[in-house]
Amino acid sequence: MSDNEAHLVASARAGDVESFGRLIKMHSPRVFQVAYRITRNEASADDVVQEACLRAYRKLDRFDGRAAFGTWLYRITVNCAMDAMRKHSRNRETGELDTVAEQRPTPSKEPGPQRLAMSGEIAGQIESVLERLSPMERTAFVLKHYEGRPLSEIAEIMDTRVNAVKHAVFRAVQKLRAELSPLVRGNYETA
Amino acid sequence: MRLPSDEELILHYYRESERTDEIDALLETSDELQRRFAEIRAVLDSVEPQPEPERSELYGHAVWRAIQPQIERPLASESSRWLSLPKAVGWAVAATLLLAVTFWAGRESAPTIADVTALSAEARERILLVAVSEHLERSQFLLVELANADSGDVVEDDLAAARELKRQNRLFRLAAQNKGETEVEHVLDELERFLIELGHVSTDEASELGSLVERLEQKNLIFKVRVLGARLDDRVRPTDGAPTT
Repeated sequence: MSDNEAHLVASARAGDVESFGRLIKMHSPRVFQVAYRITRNEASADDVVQEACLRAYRKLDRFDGRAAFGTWLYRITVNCAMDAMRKHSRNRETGELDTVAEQRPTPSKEPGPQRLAMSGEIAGQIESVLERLSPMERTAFVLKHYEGRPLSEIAEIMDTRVNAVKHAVFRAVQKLRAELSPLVRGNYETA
Repeated sequence: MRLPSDEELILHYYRESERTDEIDALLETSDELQRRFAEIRAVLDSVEPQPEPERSELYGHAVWRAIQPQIERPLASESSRWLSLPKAVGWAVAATLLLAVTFWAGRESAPTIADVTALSAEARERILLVAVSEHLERSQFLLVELANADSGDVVEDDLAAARELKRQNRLFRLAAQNKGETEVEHVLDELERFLIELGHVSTDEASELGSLVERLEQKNLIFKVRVLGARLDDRVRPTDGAPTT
């Protein structure tokens, strides 16, 4: 943690709300990225970021400074994103519809119409599978595959054991394989 | 030399295998392994980051504008059944339970009676609600792991965790019973019965674990714990919704 950031944290813990505001301004874009990667929904990600910042403020007295503030806020954001997914799952189970339309990413650009169609289909299948993963599976997979975090760190972030993270990642990958393997067969089968 | 499983190959893809050098060597010589790893690699390589909405440096200002009023406004007072008992009785019980709850929750330092009495009514309630909510979250993690694991994956650590959760659960259940929080008490009672059974199971008896997991699914306990946790989180959260950015 830089000296400037350490000073802001100390001020915030002493009750200086503006110092906390400066910390939030510094770190919000980064935590939005991980919130979006987990929730796959822009409006939900914005809500998650706000909830995470509020939760960080409420827990500020428990921040011991061993990690950087941004790292600590990142972890809170991941857990808020998981909570949001659980709530979304509960609403679907009870028949309440999410009023915010799910957003699908645009397919990545590839030369040639055939490759465009294939990459679009693959992207669509990926989103479909990720949407069906449990909160734990999706979070563990996003943190491992997209964020590149070590398994031990993911376990710490999610407050669970490394084995549980491994199993969650394995289940996510198995589900992806079931849908994508036929689509990417040309990439690994020899002639 | 034993060929790696698909799970080990997945770990190898992410360079987190404990047999990295060994698997690299096996890949040089085994056609079957090369085919299996190629398929896994092709699938995971295809999972590329998709275009994401951008958030500029000004985004942080928007977030701060949205949450600043909630931080600067005092906690909204809520009518609550948690502290509806006559103060002489209810407060002593709540203070004792709060001490017990924070001690058993493994906090680094338990609050003293003086610390607890210095808190506002709203703060005391929030502490209890947050503690119960966190307990439900930890319980849910354990239940989900049990439901998704093969019998051989349940280890002594899981059973030890269940015994610890059972001890904490009893305190929360008594607090809920005392405060007339009927819904909370019922779910915690059901959870406690399951944790008691789980704590007595031996990791050597796969059939015991199997039937326990079946009962877990029949009772829909994970869903009940999850729903209650979400409801308690809503009570902890300020009542005004945060404006979107």
